Amino acid sequence: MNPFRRFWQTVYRSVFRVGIPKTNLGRAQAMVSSFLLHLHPAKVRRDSLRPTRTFGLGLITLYLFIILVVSGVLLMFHYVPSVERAYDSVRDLSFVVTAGVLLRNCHRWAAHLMVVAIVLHMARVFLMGAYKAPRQFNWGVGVGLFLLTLFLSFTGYLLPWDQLAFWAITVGTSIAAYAPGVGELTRFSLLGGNIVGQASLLRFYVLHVVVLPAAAILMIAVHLYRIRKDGGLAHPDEDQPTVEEGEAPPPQKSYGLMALTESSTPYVGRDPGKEVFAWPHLLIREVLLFVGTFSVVLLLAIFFDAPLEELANPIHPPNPAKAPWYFLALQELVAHSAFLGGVIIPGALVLALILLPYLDRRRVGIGRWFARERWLANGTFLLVLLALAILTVIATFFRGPNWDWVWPWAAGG
Amino acid sequence: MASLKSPPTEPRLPTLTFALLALALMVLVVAGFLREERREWRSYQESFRDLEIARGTTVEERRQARERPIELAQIVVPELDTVDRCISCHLGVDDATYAGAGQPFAYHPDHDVHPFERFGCTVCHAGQGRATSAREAHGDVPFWDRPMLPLDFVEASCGGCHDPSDNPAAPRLARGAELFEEAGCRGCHRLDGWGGGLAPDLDRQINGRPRSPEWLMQHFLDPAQVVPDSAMPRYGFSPDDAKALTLLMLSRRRPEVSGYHASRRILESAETGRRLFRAKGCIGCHQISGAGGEVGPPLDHVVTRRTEGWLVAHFREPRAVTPGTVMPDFDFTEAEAHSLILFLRRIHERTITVLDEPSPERRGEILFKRYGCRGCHGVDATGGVPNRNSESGEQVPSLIYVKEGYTRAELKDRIRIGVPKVGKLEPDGPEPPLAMPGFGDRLTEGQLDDLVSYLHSLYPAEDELDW
Repeated sequence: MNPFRRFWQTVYRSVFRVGIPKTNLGRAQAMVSSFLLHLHPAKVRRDSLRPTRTFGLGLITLYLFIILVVSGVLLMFHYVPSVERAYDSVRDLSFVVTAGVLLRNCHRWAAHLMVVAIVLHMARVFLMGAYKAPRQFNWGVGVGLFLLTLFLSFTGYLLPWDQLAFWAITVGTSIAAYAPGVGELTRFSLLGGNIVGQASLLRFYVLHVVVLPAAAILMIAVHLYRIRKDGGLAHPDEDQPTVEEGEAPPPQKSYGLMALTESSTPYVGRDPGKEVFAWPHLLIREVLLFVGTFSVVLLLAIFFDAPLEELANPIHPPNPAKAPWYFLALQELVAHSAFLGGVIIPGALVLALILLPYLDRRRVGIGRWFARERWLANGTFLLVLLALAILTVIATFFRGPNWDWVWPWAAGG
Repeated sequence: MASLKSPPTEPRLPTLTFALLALALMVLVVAGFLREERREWRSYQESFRDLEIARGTTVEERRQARERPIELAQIVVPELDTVDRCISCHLGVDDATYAGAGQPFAYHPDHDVHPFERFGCTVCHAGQGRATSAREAHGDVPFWDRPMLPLDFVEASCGGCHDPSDNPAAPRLARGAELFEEAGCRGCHRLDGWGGGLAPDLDRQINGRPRSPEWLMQHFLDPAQVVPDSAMPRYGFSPDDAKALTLLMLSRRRPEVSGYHASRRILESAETGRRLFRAKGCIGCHQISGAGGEVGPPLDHVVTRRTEGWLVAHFREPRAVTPGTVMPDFDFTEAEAHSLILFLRRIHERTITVLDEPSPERRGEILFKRYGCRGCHGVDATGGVPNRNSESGEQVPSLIYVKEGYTRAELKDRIRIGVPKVGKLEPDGPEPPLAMPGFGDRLTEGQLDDLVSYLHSLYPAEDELDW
C-alpha cells in the first residue's frame, strides 16, 4: 500500500470508525459508533418500516424543520428587521437576489407544510394509542413542539412587513388579549407596545430566529432521545407479547446489542425474525423520505410564489383582517365568544392533550391503527379534528367584511 | 472477506424508488435555478450591447462595446428613500445620440433640471424602482399602489417637492390647487390636514387606497360614474380643470423628502418672494407704496439703487454689507434671496402688490365655497339639492333672495346657529334628512359680515327682477 493511500485510510478511519459495514457486527457498530447515527437502534422491527405504519410523518416534520433552519439562515443574510427596510429587503429577494424567491418560497411552504405534518403526526400517534406508557412524557414533549411550531410560524408571519403580515399579527395578538388577567400583558409584551410597530418587529424577529428555534432544537433532541429510550415505535406486541417457538424473547429495549449480534448466547442466529438491521434498511428509507420531502417543497416553491402584499399600512385595515390560517379556527371561535372561544376552548384542548396519557391508562390498542377497543378516544379525537377543520374552512372561505357570512361563489371580486 | 449473513427473509431495499426520487430532486433543483437564471434585464442589456456594437464606427469603438459588462445598475437616493433600477434596462437615458430611439433605450431630455444621478426616476415617474422586470417596474401589478404615471400626468410629481404656486413649470398643477379652494372642495373634503368632514378624507384616501389617474378624471367629470351613490354634485368641470384637479390629487402621493432635496424645494419666483416678504414681516420696517414701518428705507425702487450682488449679500447676511445695521439676519438661502429680488423687481414695475385686497363680497364668496355651502345650497346658491319632506319645497332653499327676508343681523344669526331642525312639509311625514349646521364656532365676526355681504350681493339688480 503506498504511503498516500495509507495516510488517506488513516484519516478516513479516524472519521468513519467502521467504514461501509460488510458484516452484521459492522452494521450494528456503524449505528452505535457514529454521533449522527447513534440515535438509531442497531436493529429495528421489520413492521415499523412499512410505510403505512407511520407514513414517516414524524421524520417529515423533522426534515421540514431542517429545511426551515437552513433556508431561514440563508434568508437572514438578506433580511433587515426594521420597519423601514424589512419590506424592501423581502422585495429585493425577488428583484436582485439569485434564487431569492425560491429561497423564500421554500421557507414559506415548508413552514405551512410543517404545521400540516405535525398535526398529522400527532393524529397518527393518537390513533395508534402510541402515547401510552412508557411514552406519556414524550407525548407531552410533542404537544410542546406542536405549540412551538405554531408560534414559530406566527412570529415568522410578521417579518415581511406587508399588509397581510401586519393585520394577521394585529388580529392574532388581539386574540391573545382575551385571556383573563394575563391577556393584555401578554399582548403588550409580545408587541412591545399597544400596536404592531418597530418594537414588535424586532421582538418577533428575535423570537423567530433565536429563541424559538433554540427551544425547538432542544425539545426535538429530547423527543428523539425519548423515542429510543421508550423502546422505539409503538407496536402491537406491547399489549400482547408473542414469542414464536425457538426465537429469542424480544428485547426489552431495542438497542440491546447482545441480543442482536453473533455471540455465545444460546440464541445466536435465532434473533427475533421480526427485526432487521437499521443499516441499510432504516437508513435508506430515511434518506428517501428526505429526498421526497425536499422534492415536494421545491416543487411547491417553483410553481407557487409566497404572497407579498402592499407595504404594511397601519391606517388602512383590510376588511376582514384574518389571522394566519392555522389560527383561523381560533378566530372563528373568538368571533362567537371571546372568552369561551379564545380562552376556555383552546386552553381546555391543550390541557386535555397534555394530560391525556395520564388519564387514558388502559393498555389496549397500542401500536394499531384505529383499534376497535379505542373507538371512544379515537372517535372523540377525530371529531375535534373535524370540528377544527370545519371552523378553519368557514373562516377561510365563508367570512367576508365584518366577519359576516358570505358564500365564496357569491363574493365575486 | 466475511460473507454477509443475511437471513433469507431480509426485506428488499427500495432502491428503485430511491433512484427515481433522487432523479426527481435533481431535476427540480435544476429547474429551480433555471427559473432564476433568465432575468429580463439581462436580455435588454444584451440587445443594447448588440446595438452599440452595430453603431460602432471604428474597431476600437466596437471593441469597447463588446466589452460592455452585463450588470445590474441602480440609482440610490437615500434622502428620497428610493432605489431605482430603471437604468438597468433604460440604457440610453443619458446618451443624447439615442434621442428618438425607441424604448427602452430612448434618451431622456431635460437631463440637467433634475439630473437623475441625483434624483433617480421614480420620484417623478412613479413605478416600482426596485423591480427588475418591465411589468413589475412599471408597477401595474397587484399590491403596488404607485404605478408609473402616464407622461401627461407626470407634472403631478412636481407637487411632491415644490409648492405649485411657486412653480412656473407646473401650471396645470397650480390651477388644480387654485381650483380646489375656489370650487370649495375643502368644504366637504379634508386635504393636507384640514377641511370638512362630510365627504371622504382625502389625506386618508390618498395614503390608503390611491386612485388611478383615470378614476380621478372620471370622478371630477361626473362623480356618479365611479361612485354610484355619491352625494357629490356634478360641478361641470371642463376636461382641463378635471385634469388639473387630478394632478393635484396625484401630487399628494408625495415621497418623504429630506436633506439636499428638501433644501431645493424653494423655487425662485416672485410669488415665493412675496410669500417670504409677508411671512418674515418685512413690512414692519420697510415701506412699500407708502405703507409699512419707517425703521428701514422704503423698498419701492430698491432694485434700481442696489446691484443684484449687493442685495443677495444683504439678504444672506445684512451685517456683511452694512456693518452695524439693525436689520436682523433672517438666514435666507440663496434661492430665497433671489426670490425676494424677483419680487422687488415686480414691485418696481408695479405688476405685483404686497397684499391682495379683495372686496367683502369676494371674500364672502370664497368663504361660501370654502365651507362647502355649495354642497347643499347649490353651485350658484340657487338651491335645488333634494331634502325630502322639508317645508321649503322638499329641497334646500335658494339663497338668491335672502336680502328680502333677513336683515344683516338676522342673517348672521342664522349662519351662526344654523337650522338644527328643519320644518316639515307634512307634519306626520319623516324628518327631512338635511339640516343646516351652525358655523358660529368656525367663522369670525368679520367673516360672517363678509358672507352676508356676499349673500346680499346675490340679490338681482332692480331691472333683472321680473315680478
